[in-house]
Amino acid sequence: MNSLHGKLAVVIPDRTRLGREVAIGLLEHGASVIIAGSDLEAANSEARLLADRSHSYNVRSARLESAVSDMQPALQMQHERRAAAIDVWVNIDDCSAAPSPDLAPQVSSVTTDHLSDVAGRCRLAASRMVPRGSGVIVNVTSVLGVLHELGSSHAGVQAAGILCLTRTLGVELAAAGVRVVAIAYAGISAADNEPIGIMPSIPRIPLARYGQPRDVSEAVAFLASDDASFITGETLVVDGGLTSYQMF
Amino acid sequence: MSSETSELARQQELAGRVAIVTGAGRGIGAAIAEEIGSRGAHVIIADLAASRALSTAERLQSSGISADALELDVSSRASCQNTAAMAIRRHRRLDYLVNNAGIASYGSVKAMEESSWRSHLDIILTGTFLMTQAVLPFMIEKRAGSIVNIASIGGLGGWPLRGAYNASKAGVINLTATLAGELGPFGVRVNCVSPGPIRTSMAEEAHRTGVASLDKYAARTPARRLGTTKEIASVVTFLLSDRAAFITGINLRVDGGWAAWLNSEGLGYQASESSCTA
Repeated sequence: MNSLHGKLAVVIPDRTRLGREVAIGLLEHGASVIIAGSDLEAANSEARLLADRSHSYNVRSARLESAVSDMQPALQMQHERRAAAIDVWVNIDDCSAAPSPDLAPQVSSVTTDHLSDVAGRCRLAASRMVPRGSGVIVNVTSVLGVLHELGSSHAGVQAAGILCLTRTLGVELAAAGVRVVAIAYAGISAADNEPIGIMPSIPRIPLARYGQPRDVSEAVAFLASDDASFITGETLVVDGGLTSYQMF
Repeated sequence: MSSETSELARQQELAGRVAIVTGAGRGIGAAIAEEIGSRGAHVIIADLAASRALSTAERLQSSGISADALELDVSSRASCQNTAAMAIRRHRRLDYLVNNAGIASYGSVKAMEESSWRSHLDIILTGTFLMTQAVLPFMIEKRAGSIVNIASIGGLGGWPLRGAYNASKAGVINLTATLAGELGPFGVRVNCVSPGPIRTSMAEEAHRTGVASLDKYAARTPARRLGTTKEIASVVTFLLSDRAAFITGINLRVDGGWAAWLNSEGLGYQASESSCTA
């Protein structure tokens, strides 16, 4: 839709296949994409796979150093003489953390580590965007951050933390011209029916069907584009109506 | 995809579709009609003022958009039924409805005339109900359709001197969620957009009469500016389109961060707005 031509997007995939689909969506909308991760080999092979699948030369990979203690994470791109102008940064949250009945201490530390990691990545993205006075950070997470589900307390805390981080940074960075937005999804199933994130039963979804990864990637492309230029600190729910349909 | 090809894809995204936009004679409604029309849909510009509808339709037609004008009073059941029937008779299809028509006047609940309270509810909430009800038999039969209601960040919380307006908009947000549950199984999606401070003729009028200060609104907005009608229109277009095929029942704020901010120090806050003297 001509929305992302000339823009450079960094995508940090999780263990699901959503990152790949989001990257393909961004490429289709005209952006160049950098797949970044702490494991450079994995990022490289994902980037190669993406280039093959999308017949695009606009895919590269980069190593993302994790935030260790108070250290700022860093993005290391090969052949990068000066810091590239990053227009879009997409963090994809791993919503598939193991279920637990309560907030066990070890689970809490996993949750907080994960949140600091996402916060660190947002800080890194912001450090590239604020000096230029433009940019969009998109945090993709689960509807568990909006409403609770039994047995998924830490995944819920994690997702809610990411949504709160989105509101906070959205407000803090707005005057600098940087937008921070989130997507909360549920009921997304891959082509081979493999669930991505939480899967409600069909009767609970008003649209009476599951969505596809494309539904999330289109939402990411929209939020990243100038079509959403007055949206910040906000969460776009992509769930077939699940969370709006609360009674009975 | 080259930028030329994708520009063409943008212009044809909604080709062949038919949309009704209420209150489309000016402001946000006119911008929505223009944006949908520029993506290839035929737009029916419905407005209480027939002359306003006509001049907007002519303006869009002169830029190559397929549009026609209709006089519509959303608070009248007969007028809504007539608008839907005309659209379907003329075009043999109806894909989108945007419930945008609204009014805004200001005053404390203590001093508010009952007639003012009722006209807000009639136009904003009952108007959305009546117009939606008018298009539903067709959309349900076709098992397709997308509706976007225009609410307001005022519908999300208390805001002195806007009791009737805010209560009506809160009703629209809830009606959206309820409709999503009722219509989802028929393939009809219903979503809501809540604009924050947007520069419109209505807002400028409030600025002139002193009930609102657009400068203070801009200072209160994290983005430090007012939004444009086009920035609402592009969001409405996304929600109507197949790009949002798995999105229903939501209320999406388009407010430059306004409602995400607690603003505990009261930046841009008008002391007069908390009093009941108006």
